[in-house]
Amino acid sequence: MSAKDRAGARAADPRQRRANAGSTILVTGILVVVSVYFLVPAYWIVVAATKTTEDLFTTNGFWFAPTTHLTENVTRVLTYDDGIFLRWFANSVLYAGIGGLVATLFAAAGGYALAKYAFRGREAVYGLVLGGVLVPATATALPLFLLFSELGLTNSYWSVLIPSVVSPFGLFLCRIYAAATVPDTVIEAARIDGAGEMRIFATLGLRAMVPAMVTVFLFQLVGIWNNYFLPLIMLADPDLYPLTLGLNNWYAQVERLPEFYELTTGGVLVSTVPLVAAMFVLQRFWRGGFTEGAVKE
Amino acid sequence: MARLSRRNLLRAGVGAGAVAALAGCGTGARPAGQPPLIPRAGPGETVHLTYWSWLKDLQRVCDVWNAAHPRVQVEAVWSQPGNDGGYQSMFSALAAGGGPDIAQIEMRQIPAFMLVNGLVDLSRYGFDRHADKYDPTLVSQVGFNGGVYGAPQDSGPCAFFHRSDLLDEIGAEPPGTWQEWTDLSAEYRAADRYLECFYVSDTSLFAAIAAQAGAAWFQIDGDRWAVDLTDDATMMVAEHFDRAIERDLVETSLGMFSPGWFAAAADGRIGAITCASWADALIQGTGGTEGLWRVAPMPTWSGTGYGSTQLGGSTAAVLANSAHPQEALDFSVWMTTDPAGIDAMIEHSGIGWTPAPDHIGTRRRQASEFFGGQRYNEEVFVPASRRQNPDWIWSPVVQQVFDNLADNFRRRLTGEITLMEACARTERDTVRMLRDKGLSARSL
Repeated sequence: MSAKDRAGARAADPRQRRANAGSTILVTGILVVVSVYFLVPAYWIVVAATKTTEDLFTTNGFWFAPTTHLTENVTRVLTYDDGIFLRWFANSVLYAGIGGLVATLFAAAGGYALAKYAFRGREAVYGLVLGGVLVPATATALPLFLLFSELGLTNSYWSVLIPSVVSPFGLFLCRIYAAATVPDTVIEAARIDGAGEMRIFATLGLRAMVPAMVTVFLFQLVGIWNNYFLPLIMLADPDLYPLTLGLNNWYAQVERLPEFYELTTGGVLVSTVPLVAAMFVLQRFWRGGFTEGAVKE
Repeated sequence: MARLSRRNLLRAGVGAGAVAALAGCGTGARPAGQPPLIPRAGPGETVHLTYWSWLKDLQRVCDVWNAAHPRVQVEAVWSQPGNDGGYQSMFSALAAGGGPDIAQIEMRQIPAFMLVNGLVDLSRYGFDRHADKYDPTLVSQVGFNGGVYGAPQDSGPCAFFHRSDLLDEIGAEPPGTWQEWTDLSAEYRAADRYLECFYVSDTSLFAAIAAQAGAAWFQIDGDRWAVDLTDDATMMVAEHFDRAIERDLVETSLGMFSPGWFAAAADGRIGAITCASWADALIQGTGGTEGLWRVAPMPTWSGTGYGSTQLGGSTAAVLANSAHPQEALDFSVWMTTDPAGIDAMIEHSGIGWTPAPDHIGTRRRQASEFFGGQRYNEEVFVPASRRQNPDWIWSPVVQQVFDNLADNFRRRLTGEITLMEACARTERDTVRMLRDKGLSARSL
């Protein structure tokens, strides 16, 4: 009731008020449907990870079985094959963490340079990099493999890390953002005060671009974390596998050995934890960025 | 052993480019022709072999060998499963001039690897001396052009797995023929159950049953492939299941061993499954049914065909870039025929039916509590493994054929076409697929 009154106080025109209420209901409805769509699989994984293989198929998929086996399942996930899962986990953190950070730094530097320095061929370089957005990573995996094979780098950490530090989309975003948020006058002032270009970039450019960089980092982090095809082609040694490949190997065993269902569901649950954590931690910066931009204009 | 003429092999060399392109790489086609023989390593040299396979704990099997053979050390590398990326990795590695010494390749994929000249002809390294240790129908599936392109590693003779409690309820026996199977299915329907499923999305079982009836979908006719999905045997099988679907005698909405299947089998909505020997481990995952399942021989086609058939099966194949094919063959033969190798494969890796008739595995001679104390391996699967269609071979486009047939089978469910028509359509498409690979092919 009170909410309605407040809404009424804000929207003086009753017609506009009705339209507002209608669109609020519509938008909220769509958002609810969308979040259910995205959350149901996550919920299912939580439920499934608490079950034995037998319960997985004989009890309701959306409710818990009479006995809970979450601890047993997670313990098995962490200890199976001398803790290979932890190794995969560490690999994924390494690929996604380092790859994401370096890619963000490169994208920020490249985007800043393209936005703030006028040089011949700037638009050509920009167009070329932008074209990279249109080429799916899957299409470049095989040529990259043949290239790395010539260099003798396949089946190593480098073979996954090096291609991961490139993000054309990140560069595109950083250029737009740098052009809009780093004023030329401030850069000029810094130059007059005697600051070098590197210092200007590090102290002024990077700080202003934090919201864009968080976005790029999150995109790149999720992209590398979920990447399957590139590591599949590059890596042969299971000790170098990221989680995606490792979990798929486990899942492949259920064709003959159904007890691997428990390992797979438990492993999937554990593997989503870092992404959820990253989202919670980083979304603060993200929101801050949007409001910052809004106030400025 | 199937014959593939020299001219066709050369054509296969042309086709290699097409396959490599399919695999996404432009290179990889090596000139056809025999590479020089690589002699056994000298006495002072230690050989290191790698084996890419998606079997679990295969290293433990290799360790048994490594302990007894200090000069030939084998390292198992846990690869992705074949169609989920494993083959893609192998094709890429071959194209880059590398890859493992040995790879797990399903029988049905051997011709696809031959097309890119990816396999070593093991007969040049003395496979024939070991040939009599293997089931001859399996050797014929890896033999082309007088060569042998993989050591059979496991297979899947088929039988009729069923819930005996449901059968006892209506006082029936396991069906001896597919006609009796139809009658029994109707009785199950009267009790609001299904006897079996018909799997539209996985057509490999349909192909296996057609093989049981005497079909040979792929044949080599001089220098070309002959494709025959419309022979009497296949048409008889297609018509049989057409009628079963029409009368609603088979459940068509579940995938083989999918979560839905397990749920249905656990609460008795499905009473049986015709499947391969390796299904035993899966059926044991059906909740709350311990002691209720039994295994009976597969129903037969009265007066024609064979006693059983095969589903699945893989090889240990030596890849073309191996520096030590002789040692790789020694290990592969040991692993697949020596009792120590077989028992280790069963214990650690849960391997399918062993290809060596002389030793089915120590564990498999024991009675199974889950199957009510039945010694089903010796009782059912040993005879089944001897009652196989010897004329069945695979072609380089097997996976595409299965997928194409599945697409056409789905139309049966919407009533657009019959299974018989679906087979005829897939036959036409198969000829086109083979031609697209630069091979000559025709319908029979």
